[in-house]
Order: sequence, then C-alpha cells, then structure tokens
Amino acid sequence: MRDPRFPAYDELAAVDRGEIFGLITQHAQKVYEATYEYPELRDGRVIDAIEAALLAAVRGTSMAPSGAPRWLKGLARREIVAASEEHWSTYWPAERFYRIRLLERLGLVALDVDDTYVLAAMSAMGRDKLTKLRADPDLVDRVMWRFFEVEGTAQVSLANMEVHGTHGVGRNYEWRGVFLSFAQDGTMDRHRMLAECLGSLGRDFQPFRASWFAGTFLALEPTTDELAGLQEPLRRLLGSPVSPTVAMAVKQLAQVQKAGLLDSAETLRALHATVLIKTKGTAIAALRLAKATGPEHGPAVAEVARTAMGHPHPDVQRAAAKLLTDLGDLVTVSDLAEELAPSVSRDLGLSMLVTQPAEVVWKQHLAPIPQPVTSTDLAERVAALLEDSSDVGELEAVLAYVAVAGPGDALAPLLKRAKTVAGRKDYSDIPDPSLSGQVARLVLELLGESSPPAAYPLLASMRFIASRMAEVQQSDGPLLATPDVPGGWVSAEALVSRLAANPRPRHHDLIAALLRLHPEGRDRVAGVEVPPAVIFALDGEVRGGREGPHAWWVAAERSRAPYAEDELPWLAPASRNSFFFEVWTPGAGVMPDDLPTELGSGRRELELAVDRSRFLGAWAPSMAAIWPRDAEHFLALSCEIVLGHTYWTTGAGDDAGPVLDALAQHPGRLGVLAANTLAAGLVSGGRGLRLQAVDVFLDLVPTGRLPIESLHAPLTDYWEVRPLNRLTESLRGISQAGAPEFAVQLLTGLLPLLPTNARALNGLLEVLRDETLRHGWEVRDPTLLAWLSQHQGSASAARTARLLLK
Amino acid sequence: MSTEAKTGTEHSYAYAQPSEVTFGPDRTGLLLATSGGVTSSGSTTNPVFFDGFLGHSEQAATALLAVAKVARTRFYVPPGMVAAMIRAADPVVTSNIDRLRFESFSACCGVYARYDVLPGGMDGRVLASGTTNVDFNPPMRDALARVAGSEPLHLEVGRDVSVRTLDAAVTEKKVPLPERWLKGFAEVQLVAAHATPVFDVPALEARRFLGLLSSTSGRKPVWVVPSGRGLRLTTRPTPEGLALSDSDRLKPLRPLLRFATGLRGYAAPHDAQGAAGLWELQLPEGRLVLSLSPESNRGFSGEGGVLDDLADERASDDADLVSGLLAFEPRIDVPRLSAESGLAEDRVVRALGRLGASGRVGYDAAEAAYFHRELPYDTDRLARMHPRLRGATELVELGAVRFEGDWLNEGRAFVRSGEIEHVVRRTPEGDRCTCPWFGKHQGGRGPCKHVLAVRLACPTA
Repeated sequence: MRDPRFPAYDELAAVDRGEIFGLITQHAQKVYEATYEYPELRDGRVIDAIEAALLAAVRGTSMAPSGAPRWLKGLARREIVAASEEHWSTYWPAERFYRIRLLERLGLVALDVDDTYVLAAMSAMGRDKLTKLRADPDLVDRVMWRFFEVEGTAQVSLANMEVHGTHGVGRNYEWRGVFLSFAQDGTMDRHRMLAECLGSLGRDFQPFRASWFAGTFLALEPTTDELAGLQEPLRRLLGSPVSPTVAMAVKQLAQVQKAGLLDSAETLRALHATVLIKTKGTAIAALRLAKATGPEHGPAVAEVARTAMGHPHPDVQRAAAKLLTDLGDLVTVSDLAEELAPSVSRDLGLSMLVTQPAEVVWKQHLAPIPQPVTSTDLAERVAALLEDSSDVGELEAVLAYVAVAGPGDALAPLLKRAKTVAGRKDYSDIPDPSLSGQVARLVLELLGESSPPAAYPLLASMRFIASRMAEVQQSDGPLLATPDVPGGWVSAEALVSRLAANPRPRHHDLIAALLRLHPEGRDRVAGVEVPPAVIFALDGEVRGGREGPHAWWVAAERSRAPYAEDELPWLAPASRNSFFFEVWTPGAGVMPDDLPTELGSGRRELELAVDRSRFLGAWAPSMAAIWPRDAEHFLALSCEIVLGHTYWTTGAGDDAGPVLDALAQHPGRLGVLAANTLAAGLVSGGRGLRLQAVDVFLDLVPTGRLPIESLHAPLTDYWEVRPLNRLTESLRGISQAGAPEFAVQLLTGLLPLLPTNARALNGLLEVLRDETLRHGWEVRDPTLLAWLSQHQGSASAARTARLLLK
Repeated sequence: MSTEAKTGTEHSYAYAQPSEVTFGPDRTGLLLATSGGVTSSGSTTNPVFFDGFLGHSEQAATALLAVAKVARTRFYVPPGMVAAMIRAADPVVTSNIDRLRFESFSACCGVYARYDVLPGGMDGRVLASGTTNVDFNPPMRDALARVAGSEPLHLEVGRDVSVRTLDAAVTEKKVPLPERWLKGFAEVQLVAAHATPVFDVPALEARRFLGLLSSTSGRKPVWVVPSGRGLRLTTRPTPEGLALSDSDRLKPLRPLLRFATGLRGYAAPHDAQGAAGLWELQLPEGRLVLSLSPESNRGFSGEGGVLDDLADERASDDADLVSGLLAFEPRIDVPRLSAESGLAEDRVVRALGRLGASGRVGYDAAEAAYFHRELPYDTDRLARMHPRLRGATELVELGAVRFEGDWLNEGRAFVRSGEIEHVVRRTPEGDRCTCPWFGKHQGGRGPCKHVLAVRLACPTA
C-alpha cells in the first residue's frame, strides 16, 4: 500500500543515488531558492518538487549524478517535527512521514530515531499499518520498540489513538492490533513486549497515556508462568503513582501467588507502598495478597498491616486491623486505637476516648464598612478597581469620594489605563460590558475625556449599578447609599443627614439608599424633612400622596420588607435526572433600570444563564449588595450558575465561586433559592466549589442564618444527579472544621428522606456513625431510627444501619 | 557551561560516564555522574564529592526519584502549549561538608524540590564540598526504582575520571534554560527565607491529609489550616494557613509518605490572593522539601520579592564581601560572618538575600538558616538585571523621577513613564503606586518599576 501520488521504494531501489540527487537538484533547487509570500509554503513546494524528481527517476529519466542538496536534511527534519506535532487523524502528518521515510530508506537522508521521530512515526503511519510495516521491516526494528519509551503528547499518543482511532474519522489509526499481530506472528518478541509494557508503566507516564500499556499487557493474555517470570517488574509497579497501574499489578501478582510461584518476601516488602494508595479497593486487595502469602511470613505480613493502619479510609483500617488480629498482634491494634476511625475502633471492641467538640462561636462574616477614600489614596484605589472591580466596598468608597470632591487631576495617572479598559471588546467586537469598564468610563468622564460607547449590560441590576455610577457627577452633594453599617446597610441616621446635605438627591442613588436602609433605628429619625418616599420607608406612612418618581416608592416599599410569598422566585428542576434547573419569577415584562428589585417575568433558562455568566464576573458582589434585605433577589439572577456548575465546560463556572461568596456575606432573608444554592454547592462536581460550600455552610447554618432543615429538600432532590459521596466529603469537611453536630443534624433530617437503596449511601451512614461514636452521641430521632430499621440484606449500607441501631 | 543559541540559552552537560545503579550480591551501588559546578577549590568539570553509604536506601532512592521527577515535570501547561516537549535540567547536588542536598526545579518554574541527606543518614568520605549537576538518565531511574529494603546504599557522587577507560564515552547533552527558569530556581530560596512555620503534624496525620487530598487542578488557591491533630482545607484566606494552588503539585511527596515521620508547612507572608508555601516531609535522617509558587500558573521568577534587595546598591558591595567568606557551610552562621566581615548582622542578612537571588546560597527553613551552594549555571546570567529593575534603572537614567515633600516622611514622588506621570506614595504599609501593575497586584509580587525607580533615585530610602 502506498500513497498514489508517491513512488514506492521498490521502484527506486535500483536507481543510482547520485542520479536521484541530480534529479532532486534539477527539480527542487530553484523551488527552494524562490521567494514566498508565506515562508511556510516553501517546504511543501519543495516536497512536491522532490516527488516530481522521484517520479522522473521511476520513469528512467537520466541525470548526471550529484551530491545531496545541502538543504535536504534540514527539510526532512522539519517535516518530521511537523508530523510529530500535528494531530494524527489529519491527512498531512501521514503523508509527511511516508515521504520522508522513503527518502530515508533510499539513503538520501539519515535521521536519528529520537523522540520526535518516534512521535512522527506514531502519528503519521496512517491506516493499513500492518501492510506498511511488513513492507518496511527495518522500520519495525528501528522504531516500534521505541514506542514503549516515548510517552507522547496531548496530540499524539498511543492511548489517544486507541481511544479515538477506532471510530469516525480516526478509524483504523489505533496501534494495539498491530502490536498484537506482530507478537502473534513472531515479528516482535512476545515476551519482550510484555516486559516493555511493564517498563512503560513504570516510566511516570501520565495516567491516561499509561493506560494503553496496561491494556496491551492484558490483551497479550500473559500466562501464569509468564507472569511469574515478570514478577519483579510487576512488583516495581506496586509503588506507582498511577492507581490503575497498581491495581493491575496487584491482580497479576495475586494470580502468581495462587500458582505458588510468588517471591513472597520481596512482594511483602513492596506492598508497603500499595497499602497506602488512595483507592481503598486496591489497598484492601494488597492486604489480601499479603495475607495469602501464608503464616510462614507472619512478621512481614504484620508489618504490611501495620503500615495499612495509617490509611485514611476506615475500610482499609478495618481490614488491616483484622489481619493483625488474625496474626495475634492485638497490641498494635490496641496501641493505635486512638488513631483509627471511631467506627473501626468500635467494631474491633477497642476503648475509645469520647471527645466533645470544641466550643466555637460561629459568626457570619458580613461585608465591612468601606474605608473612606482620601485625596491622597484616590488614584491608587481607583487603579486597583480598574484591574479588579469586584470589591464592592472599594467601589462604594470611591464613588462616595468623587461625588463630593468632583473631578481633579489626581486621576490623571490613570488616563491611559482607563482608555484601554474602557475600549476593551469581546471576541465579536462588542464593547466589553464589564464593571471595570464602567469604572474606566467614570474615570474618563471625571478627567473630561470622551469614552468609547458602552455595551448594554444584560440584566436590569447591572444597568442600575451603571446608571448610578454615571450620575455621580450630576451634583456635588454626598451620595446617599454609601454603606455605614456592616453588611452593606445604610443607617437611617446617615440617610437623613446625607439628605439634609443633598436635598436634590440623584435618582438612582436615592433608590439604592432606600434599598439599603437598615431595618433598625428608623423610628429615631421620624419627623424630618425628606422626600415622602423616604418618610414612607422610615415609618411606613404615606402623607400627602405618593409624590416623586414611582421607582422611589417601589424602593421604599422594598426597604420595609423582603419579597412577599407570592412575589418570590421559585426553582423548578426541568426534569428528573437532569442538570437543568430553572428559576421562575412572577413579575411582568422587562423591568426598567430603576426597578432593580423587580425581576421581570417567566422562566430564566439555563441558556440565558450561560450568556449572563459571561458577564457576571465582577458584577456579582455589587449585584448582591443592591438589596441587603433579601438574598433571593440576587440568587434569582445567579443561582443557576451554582446549580449547573458541573454542566459548564469553560468559563461560566468561574462565576459560581463569587455567587457562593456573595451568599455567604448576604445579611438578608435566605429562602428557597439560598438553600438550593448552598445544597448544590455541597454536592457540586467541582471539588473547589464543594470546599467553598463547606465554608458557606459554616457561615450560615451554625449561625442560624439558614435553617438546617431547609437543606433537606434540595439535597433529596439532587441525590440522583449528584452522587452522595460528594455530600459525604462535604460533611466530613464540616465535622473537621469543628461543627460535627451540624453534620449529624443534617443527616438526621436528610437520611429518612432518601430511599434505602440510594447509591453511595453507606458513606453518609459512616459519617453519622463516626461522629456519634467520636462524641458519645446517640441516634434517638424516631424517624431516623424507623428509617434505619428498614434496611435489609447484606449491603454495606444495611450493615452500617444495623450498627447504628445497636 | 552555557551557550547562546538562536532559540535561547542552552546549558551543556558533559558527564564522564552515565550515572548507574549496580546490584551486587552484597550491596547496591549508585554512581551519580557529575558535570560542572564549583567546589571549595574553584570551578571544575567532573567533581567528586562523596564515596560512602546512605542509610535508608529505599527511602533515599524514592526521594532521589521524586527530586528527579520534579525536574522533568511541567505542572502547569500554558494554554496553547499542546505539545510540550520537555528537555529537563538535571538535578543539582551540593556537598555541604556533613550533608548532601539534592535540588531540582520544575520546567514550569513553579515547584522546587530538595532532598537533604542529614548527617546521620550518610557514612563515608566527603571528598570535597561544592555544587554540581548530576545525571539522572532513564535506565538509571528505572534501576533506582528497584532499590528496596533497608540495607545501606553505596553512593558515589562523582568518580575519579583518571581511571576511566579510553573507550568510555563522555555523555553530553544540551538543555535550553530560559532566563525565568534560572532566576526562579535562584529566587525560590528568598521565598523560603521569608516563610514562617504554620503547622507541624505527625506522620499519621500527614498520610491522612495527603492521602485524602483530592486532585484540584484549579489554580485558585485554598488554605491548609491546622485542625485538631491534623489538617483541613478552607477557601477562606487566613494568615494561619498555608496557601495551596493545584494540589497535584504535592504528588512528589506521596511515594515517601510511608517513610515519613512528620510534615511541616511554612508560609510566605500572607496574601489573600495566594502565597508561596514550603512543604517539608520529615524522614529518618532526611527531609524532602517542596516549595510551591502562589498559583500554579505563576513561576517563582515573576514574584519580584527579591527586588528590594537587588535594588540596594550597598547590599551589592556587602554581598561581594560576604561571598568571599563562604565555604559551603551547611548552616551559614550570620554572627560569625558579621564578625568576620565587620558588617552589622542585618546587612549580612541582606547580602545573603542578594546572594540567594544570584543562586549562590540556598535557604533551609528547618534550620532557619542559609546554606552555601553555587548553582552550576552561568552566573553572569543570574547576575543580569531583573526586567523590572532594568526598567527602573532606565527611568532613573532618564531623569523621570521627581520628589515632592520629604520622601522619607510619607512624602510623594512622581515618575514619568511615557505620557503618564505615576504617583508613588510612601506609607507605613509600604510604598504604593498608581500604575496598573500595582493596581493589580497591590505589592503582592514585589514593587513595581516606578517604586523601584524612586528607591534608586533616593538611595537613603
């Protein structure tokens, strides 16, 4: 099989090499020396010219012999590099290696079989590898054993070609079948191939790439005798950092052991590394193998078991302790009692020290009062906001300062940077709607400079924030909405005194101030001269009609109470077993910019959230600070980002962290959306987000801000789409952080709502058992006891449930 | 030796023979071939440092492999670098009179590893003190992975080349060493010098924490904080914790957990955006130290923490003086250097910081002391100016700095950079600037070039 456009080796083998060089020089020298608009075109054109020269040689065209063109080897090398770097399923790399390999076989160029050459051969052999390689036995000898030494890259690797080379455009590109065929027909030595597979597995290859060698080893179906002969390299793999490799080695050695061919002493020495591997199944299998070596190796087996006692998983500890007990080493087990998981100690009948959790005063970390800006530090703090405007306190402090002090030359050093930030565009050339861009526009305005057109932020909340920033220069009166109480609140005293100094307030700023009005202390400032909407906000009475803009009155009403029941947004999973969640809101139509608390109407779809999340970024904290009274408002706009966190493939998920942060600091009402957001975080597919959710849990639940019962329903809803072992990890994190009673409380309410056959249930039961045993608590809740008693059979969850009932 | 090539600067290794592991009936031998470097007698080509035995042979072999693995690993692959072909620099060994230190630096410039063989862990002849490269070729690494058991390991660091047979080939290779890699390798020592202990947990807790630590490849840092007898993670920045970005960078510690006797953490000065951290796995008569950069996509060379020392001209003269007094001590005695040099101790410490940035001393957090070693690379390249410092110097030469008021007493300075004049302000919390660099990093990555220019223009600052 050969490329139809290229001659075969046999057609040229007898042609004098000097004549071929002469033909190549005749055809390709001028092509090489020509000037090209794009220099990268040169090599392709030269290769085409070489092809013409070779075809001429096949036709018998004679030419005076000459030496090799000086550029030929460099060209060959560049082609090999290109073939090694490009994706193996494209056409070009395959042709590249074929052409250069022909030149090499003809002795026209000499190339080193380095890693790049090996990758080029791996990538560029194309289909029909068996035929091609059988026609080129020298290549088999030179390259194929080297495949076991070269890991490959993200683009080109044996594993990659195996996975993607069996279907679609990459069909028939895989390599394993070639190796198996060669091992079968004796082209390559089968025993060496087995050994090379194990050698590759010991070479620190990335796990995915290593998997090809493990798969090929197993596909060769080594006999027990062969495995016995390979037990030393197999033993070396017992300490591999790649878990599947270790698991395979343990399994193969167990087969050798069953045949009575295992070097037990050496194997036991190597098993110390294996019993600490994170995968509990492999660690337990290693303990089984140790035990199987027999009583004559008792002391060495006990050493392995003692090492395994340090494994973090209770099941491994239990297996190790049982092995030690079987070996009669009760002293070690007893000595390590305090180090074991409580459930293991209890199962072994060991005495345990019951400890009460340390007294912790839990408190929610509310946003601090912004530090006032001065003329001295104004430029530095604005410079920081141009780079990252997610600190809502800093933004408020800067706005408060510039509202009063007006423009000045203090911001002059920021002119260039502000122009750059304000002029940013996204990939589709649309002006960047980021909050930093709004800050940049404000800087330019203060400096009397024009700014590029602003993008229209997607959400009314964002537009409200931008509008408030844009009107800062309308007067020199103080801003009303600058927080003076932790949590982003404005005290009634501050609002009234600021209004006294600014009797003609800025429209959006007054709305912002009303929405931030602290619920306490309003009666202390009654009877003052302020707009009627403010009076209503302070004492709830309307005197003399609703004068002033409608938006002021809406804000005044919102300042007095969170959403009413019939106004609340609600969450509905689109379907069972789905990651798609929807927030529904009861409002009507698209809301104007000065009604930021009104949510519009209807369903907020995931697709919308994807678009939105591209823009959320630094807006999230400022959006959350619009209405401290009710977190459901902010979460209606943002909770899907956390709920769908595992769904996002790029970028969008980055906003989940800021949303959780904003929830953790929010001082207002936490409702269904808050509970769902936190619950989704606790079972998120992202480990980092789960960890963050544990911190948010500690901010909100032990402090009483969010009732623990509110988490039961969402967690129950999610169990089919979010594996329970994620919740197990989160609950252990909560316990480790010093709040085990809340982990137990959560489980007490949650477990009876779950079906007894739920997957990964045992992990939750083990947390419950460990924490109750550790702290000397008892399971007394009648609903939980009834649910525990429903467990039947021999499943691990059923066993743990029975132990909890004892 | 280094050569300038079109693609960057290359470092050439020339080993008299490959490193090798030999398995005999009575003992296992490890020959580490050496290339280049400096000894107490001066520059050399193939130094011979040690001939003797290492205790805890399996532990030693595993630790050496971990150090070599760090050298070969790119823990962070920048977007677009889809086919990272790594030609790694070889590890470096320092013979510090009573101990051996094996060091390496990752290809991504974000992870530093050091294995110290402490005095009780070696028994043999220290033939010379100094620093050199050591060959870790693939067959030798494969063989090293087979070292098992507790029998002492016969170690030779270098072998007398005069006994080499005529047909023995010299092993040569060239490796590109980007400037940021070289500077990062040197400057990571300064990070260690400013780190403070945050936790010290026993072996069991170390195994449990690292054993359960999930793979978090995200670069956003989390904090490791003491919790009861053990450790836990939190996403809340805290000065009581050790920042950790991309937990996969701790994987080199895992193979050694079974030998561990404890784990210590040291944190660089707190930064809510993440800070560098040192992880010190304590071993019988040894320790393996990993230093991790604040974020996995940030190398140590960009941190700029050394710029204060480098910008101090007086420290340059002091460093010259102090360097002449060093003799590959395992623990540099600052009072002794102070007495011998006539410099105050704080000036000696600043001089050592400057020497650290030049690759001429390392820092051992466990000993809370510098140790003498001279990285076996082109020291001229290490001495070359940091880009930010170079920019600052240019600003000063252009006369771009002017002062307003009493600079030393919370005054202000103005630095013209192109069309913009930035304001630099002196505050009790440190110097501040109005430039985008400072706006973004808030001093967390060292001073900006405008702050440096002000300090250069006002040396008494």
